[in-house]
Amino acid sequence: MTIKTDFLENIAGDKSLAVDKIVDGAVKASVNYNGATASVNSSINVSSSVDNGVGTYTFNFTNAFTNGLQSLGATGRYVSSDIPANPSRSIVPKSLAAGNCNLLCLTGTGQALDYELVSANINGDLA
Amino acid sequence: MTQLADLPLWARLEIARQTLEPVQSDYRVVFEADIDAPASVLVPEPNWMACALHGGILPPVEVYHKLEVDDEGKVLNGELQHTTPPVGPMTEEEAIEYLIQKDVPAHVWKAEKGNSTKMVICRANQLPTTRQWRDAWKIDQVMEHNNLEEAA
Repeated sequence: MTIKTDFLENIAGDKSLAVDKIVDGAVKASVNYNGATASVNSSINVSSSVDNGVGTYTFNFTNAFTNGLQSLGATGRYVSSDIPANPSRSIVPKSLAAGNCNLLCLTGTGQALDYELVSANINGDLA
Repeated sequence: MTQLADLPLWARLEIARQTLEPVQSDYRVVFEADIDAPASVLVPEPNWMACALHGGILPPVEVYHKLEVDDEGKVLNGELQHTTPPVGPMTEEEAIEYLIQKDVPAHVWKAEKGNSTKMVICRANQLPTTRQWRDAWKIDQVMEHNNLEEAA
């Protein structure tokens, strides 16, 4: 069933929201990935993952985005035993394209490292 | 009544995700897209594999090849993904072939000639069991040669 409307409003009438804001703001692709085993735990709109080497992974989209300017939010953690000694980390998007994104997982000193958890949400317009 | 094929691709994927059981494939595609980089390992996504086996959800792989991208990376004809009738059920092997053509760089799988093996389809248990020396992984050309001799 499809409900077609432009605005949602509460009964009191003091709060409303354009449906476009909900649709545009919804996550269009997401992935929860284990870099230590190179496997996807769960995902939305991902056709495959590619393990390109230590700490670098590509996620291919089933439904392409309109361009490579989508917004990406990613976090992760590396192997638990590494955390106390080296807690700082970062995930860098090496490339963002309409059909895929490539992430590079780093330690605080800038060294590529396999993460046991990579969690990424991607917003934007689908083509 | 709306048919699945009448819906846009993203809507078909969403329905499939809610109704189909994910299928974890045992196949892996090892490929070398860059001679200076380690071998890459492609793993099919379980929800996508379920869509491929079910049929009626994914567009023909040619659709992805027909997507036109301008100089700024913008897709100009994305509606092809939604308007092209979806393909029917695939076997797992056909799904892997589809995925190779979709997600592996074309210069790897489309090369007609070459003096080395750039891509291998294997089982997960044929990959190294640990990620030690991961950045030194390369397709074993000697093993491939031996396999060819055995096959001959």
